Amino acid sequence: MLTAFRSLTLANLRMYVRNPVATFALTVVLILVLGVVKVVFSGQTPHTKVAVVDTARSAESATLVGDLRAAGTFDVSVLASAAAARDRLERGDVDMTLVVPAELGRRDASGRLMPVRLEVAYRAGTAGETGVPALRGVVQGFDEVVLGEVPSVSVSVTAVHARAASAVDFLLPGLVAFNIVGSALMVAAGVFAGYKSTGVLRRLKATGVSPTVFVLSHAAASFVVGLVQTAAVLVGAELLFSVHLDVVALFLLVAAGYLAFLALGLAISGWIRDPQRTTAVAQSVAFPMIFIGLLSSALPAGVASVTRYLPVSYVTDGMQRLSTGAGLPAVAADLGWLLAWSAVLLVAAGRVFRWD
Amino acid sequence: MSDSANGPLVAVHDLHKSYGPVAAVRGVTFEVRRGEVFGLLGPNGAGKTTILETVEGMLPIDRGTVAVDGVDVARHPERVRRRVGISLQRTAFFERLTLAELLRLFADLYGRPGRAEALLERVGLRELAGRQVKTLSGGQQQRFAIAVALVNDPPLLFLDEPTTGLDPQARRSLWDLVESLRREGRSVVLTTHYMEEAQHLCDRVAILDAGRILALDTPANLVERLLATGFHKDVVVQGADLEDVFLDLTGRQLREG
Repeated sequence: MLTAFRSLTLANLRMYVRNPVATFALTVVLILVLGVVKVVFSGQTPHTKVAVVDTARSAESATLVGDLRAAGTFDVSVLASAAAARDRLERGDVDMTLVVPAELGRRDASGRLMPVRLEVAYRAGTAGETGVPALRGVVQGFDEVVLGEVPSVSVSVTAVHARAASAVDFLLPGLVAFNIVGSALMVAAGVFAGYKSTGVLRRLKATGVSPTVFVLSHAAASFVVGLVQTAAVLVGAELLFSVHLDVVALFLLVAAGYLAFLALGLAISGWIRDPQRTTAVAQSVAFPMIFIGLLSSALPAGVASVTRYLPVSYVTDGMQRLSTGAGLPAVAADLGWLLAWSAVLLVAAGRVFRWD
Repeated sequence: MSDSANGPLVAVHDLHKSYGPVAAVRGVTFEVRRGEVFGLLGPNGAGKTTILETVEGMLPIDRGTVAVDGVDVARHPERVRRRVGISLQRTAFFERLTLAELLRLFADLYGRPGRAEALLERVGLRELAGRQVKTLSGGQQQRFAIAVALVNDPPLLFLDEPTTGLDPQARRSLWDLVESLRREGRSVVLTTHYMEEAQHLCDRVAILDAGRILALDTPANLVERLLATGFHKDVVVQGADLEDVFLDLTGRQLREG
């Protein structure tokens, strides 16, 4: 039993390695897509949209706003209240807010400039984040040149983790979901269909080997290949973008998702008798999965309350949690659910498998 | 499995098998003796492959009983499949694996490792151990399929149309291989629609049509019985035929392309 499992797994791995084009084409394409995204978005200068709330309304504060505009990397809009600015930041209309306190430029009884603290908030993972050093530079220049005394203006910065809307944050979960569904589900479905139509499976059936051993060995080999593919896509994303994510947690999440979809693909292709139908069934499962994966944050609550229990949702929800800076503990439950799905689907795949 | 060591190796009684409304096998009874080469003859659609695959445990039986070496095939199809050697009509193997790798894989699946090289030698494919199946000629593929069928050292082999589509040299080479299996004491059940092949190889043949056995005996007895009815050929029987001419001109040496 164990010999049969080991031998079949090795045979499958050999076949994958000897067919590198089919095995890694999708991975290469996904990395290329990431590369295209990188080129497209780096073509634009990263303007930071900043909402300024000027409570001082002094000549000094007007100069500071002028300096910000002159810096060239800020799109400045002046708002009346801190609450309005905060609202726009959370809606994603601006990347950064800057609150200028009323004391800016005022002097105390002894004639010295009152120390003030500018409050800056930015959205993590947006141009607001990269705009912080530029803002500090502008403020420092203002402090030295305009006020001309011992530094009296400091900057207090807080990051806001709102639902991401940047290109990478939006794309990466979708791409990864596509990779998982595309290569795990579709490849698994296609391979058995091919074996059925050529008659390879009938000869294996003749050996009396158990379907469960056959299915599990196939899952093991494909899983190893999937880990390599996933690692390649993630390394590509890491190299192209400065994604501040917990890479280990991300890898584990994607690996568990890959396993679940692999098991689903094996169950479908083992169960369907007619190899030509397999692809159609697998596609009709894969397409809604990709759709749900890409649009998970935009689905209406009623639909989401059902789809959140699907494997693809654990992957995309987990990924979005990771993309806001959370670590492994935040996705532990997603990992658990995915592994549970995988176990159930693998057992089912062994049970419903048909040799011919 | 030795409880019936002296009985027939295969005992088929009143076998029926339908595919939906189509009755492929309609009440077939025969036995295969130990050490004999048994032929199932008949035109396409006669039910040869269906009979073979039900006896192998590859297809479920509708009605009747089939026992292989005393094991009830309907109750223990896996046990029968593990014990016999099977070469299917359309045998396909994994692509991208070499002959040696495939034989080792099948040996592991049967739990009988360590015979790959010897088996390739046995069927004359030792030099091609590193090649893939798709690069082999038709005759080589059939011989490889028999090597795989021998991996579990079976006392009984089922060969479904082993020579269909082969050139005369490859066919003769396969005949030699089947005869060597018989010399080793193995039994062989094969299907064919070449009568001269059945006459050359088979100890006994069953002639089938439309899912029924029309006649079952040794080739010599069948011919004798026909002659006893007063049958005679219109054509003068020559001492040789066109195949003899072909082989005389092109030689008996095996061609592989």
